[in-house]
Amino acid sequence: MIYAYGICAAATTPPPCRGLGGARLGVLRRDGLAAVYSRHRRLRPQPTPAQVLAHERVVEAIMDDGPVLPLRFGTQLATEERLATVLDERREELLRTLARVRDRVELGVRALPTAPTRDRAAGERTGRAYLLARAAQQRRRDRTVRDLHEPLAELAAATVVRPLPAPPALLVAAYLVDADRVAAFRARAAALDAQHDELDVVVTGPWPPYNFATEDEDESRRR
Amino acid sequence: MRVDADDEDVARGLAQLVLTVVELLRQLMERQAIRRVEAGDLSDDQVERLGLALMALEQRMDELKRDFRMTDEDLNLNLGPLGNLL
Repeated sequence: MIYAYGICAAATTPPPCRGLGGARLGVLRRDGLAAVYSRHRRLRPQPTPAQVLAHERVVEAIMDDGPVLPLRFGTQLATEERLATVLDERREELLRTLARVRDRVELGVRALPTAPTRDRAAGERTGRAYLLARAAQQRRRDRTVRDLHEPLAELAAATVVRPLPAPPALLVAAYLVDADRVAAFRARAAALDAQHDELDVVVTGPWPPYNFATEDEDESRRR
Repeated sequence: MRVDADDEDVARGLAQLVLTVVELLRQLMERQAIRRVEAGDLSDDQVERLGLALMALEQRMDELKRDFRMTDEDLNLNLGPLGNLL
């Protein structure tokens, strides 16, 4: 059984860290592409902080060396041959996606209301009031997307907006940003935060491009 | 690809899946209801009944989430290339 962490360019050097359970990392190279993996006799990946961090560390170490398509936590394959087949079969797509994330990072943005708003319309006494409260909430969300997302998206190569963010969040989105524009992106997010007293805008990252590791997400926009 | 899982994992995973789909439908119904109210094609009585029904549904959903010890964040499915469901 092998556990796979990420797909990268063939030139990638083996990351100088260990994998899940302290396993040694291997690099499988295949005609311009490579995958970083570890071999396990028995492995049951559980999303515990230690295991998720081990996965993340490997992905970040690959990213230090070049572009990476992070695989989802828990990706396992039967054999190295199987992994090689995946690289072969999806070669063109993987190369294109790697080119897209090259020299770019993912930034996460969450916008939350500053004051605790009554997000649960459930306390309303009438059906009409409930629906009106819900409608107001939806308008607030749409307005947040317009006021925050659109100016931030101008600085991004691609974006993914979560369509129905869990309350109280009004915007949860990921942005694929050129590494040399991260500072500009943060500055714009800070300016938007200052402009909107009613919102807290939180930027996280830079992350490996988890939300941009597959081609042509419906919601993503390329420029 | 993973086939071995203990019963508790499976039960929780199934509950999570079912609740996620129910929550998705609930949210879609609510959006549709808001659209119809805003379009003004419902009578006052219809708006009231629709609102009460959706309010009751949300309360019930909150109870189910509590019973299964799940948060809104748990009720999400990553659909891979399609992104997140909720």
